[in-house]
Amino acid sequence: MKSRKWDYFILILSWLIAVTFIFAGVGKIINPEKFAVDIDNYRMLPYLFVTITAVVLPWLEVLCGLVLIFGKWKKGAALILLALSFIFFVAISSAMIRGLDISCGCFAVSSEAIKIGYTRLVEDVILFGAILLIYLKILRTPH
Amino acid sequence: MKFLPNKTLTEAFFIIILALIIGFSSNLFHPNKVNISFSHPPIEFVEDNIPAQTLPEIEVNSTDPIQEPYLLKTQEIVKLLKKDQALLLDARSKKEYQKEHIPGARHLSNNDLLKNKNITETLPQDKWLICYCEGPGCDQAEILAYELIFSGYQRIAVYPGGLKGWKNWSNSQIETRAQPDEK
Repeated sequence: MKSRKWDYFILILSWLIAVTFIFAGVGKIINPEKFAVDIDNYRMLPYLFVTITAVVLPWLEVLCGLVLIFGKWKKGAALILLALSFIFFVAISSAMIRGLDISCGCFAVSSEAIKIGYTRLVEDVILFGAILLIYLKILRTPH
Repeated sequence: MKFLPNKTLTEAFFIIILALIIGFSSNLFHPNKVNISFSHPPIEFVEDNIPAQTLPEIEVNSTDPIQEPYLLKTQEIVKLLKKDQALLLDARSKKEYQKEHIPGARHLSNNDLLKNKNITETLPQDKWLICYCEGPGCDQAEILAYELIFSGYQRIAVYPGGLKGWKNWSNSQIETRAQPDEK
């Protein structure tokens, strides 16, 4: 009984994570040019990789979200999302250490976008923890 | 239980390939598409794309709000600075400003403005406030400019060339000390 409750909890959590990433991805797909500016503001990547990331990352987020809800490659999707949330954490921490005052580029892509800061870091750690739970649960699930 | 089974890695690989294909294909037809290139557009290209315009005479106590900031080329900024009709505002972080900034520029980030609205009281009302950040591509200057317009300022402009544009024009003449009226 307890195990079933836990299963439902993980299922709902995975849907929430999936919807979050789909929402984040769609916002960036609508305006990839603006997302490229957001990535470039971090000053971590050469310009070529900035442009490639701006084009590919939003679709990766949407695809992983969709797969997590509907697909058969859930383990792969969860692994990618785990890696992405870790990369986001490194990027935000690095920007904060360098004293950059920039938009996060995490979810909303507008001039009123959310700034980087400790709140974003905490959100990212929570996201990472949630995805790790989902990933471990999917790994244990027999096929 | 293996943390990274081969099957999982294969699945992840195929999802990444799919994202690459869809991403690049959709970018071809996107109205705001990203130009895949090795380097930023050259500063000259950015300056050439700024429309020629004449800055309007705005009275100090004018209440007519402007809709958007004016975009200025390096030469126009130099003219205004020589006539003492402009103040440059560095919209980057304090740390970056202290490292290097355009001579005479003051530091004012959007974060500072959001935290303390009274900070604008120290800004001159009779000069053009020209916001800049790192260079083409950064958006802090534009965000700050709009924030100043919302705060009621009339003479707001953005320098799209930013610090990079200034360095390019002046053979890297920059300043590393803060302005005297800044803490």
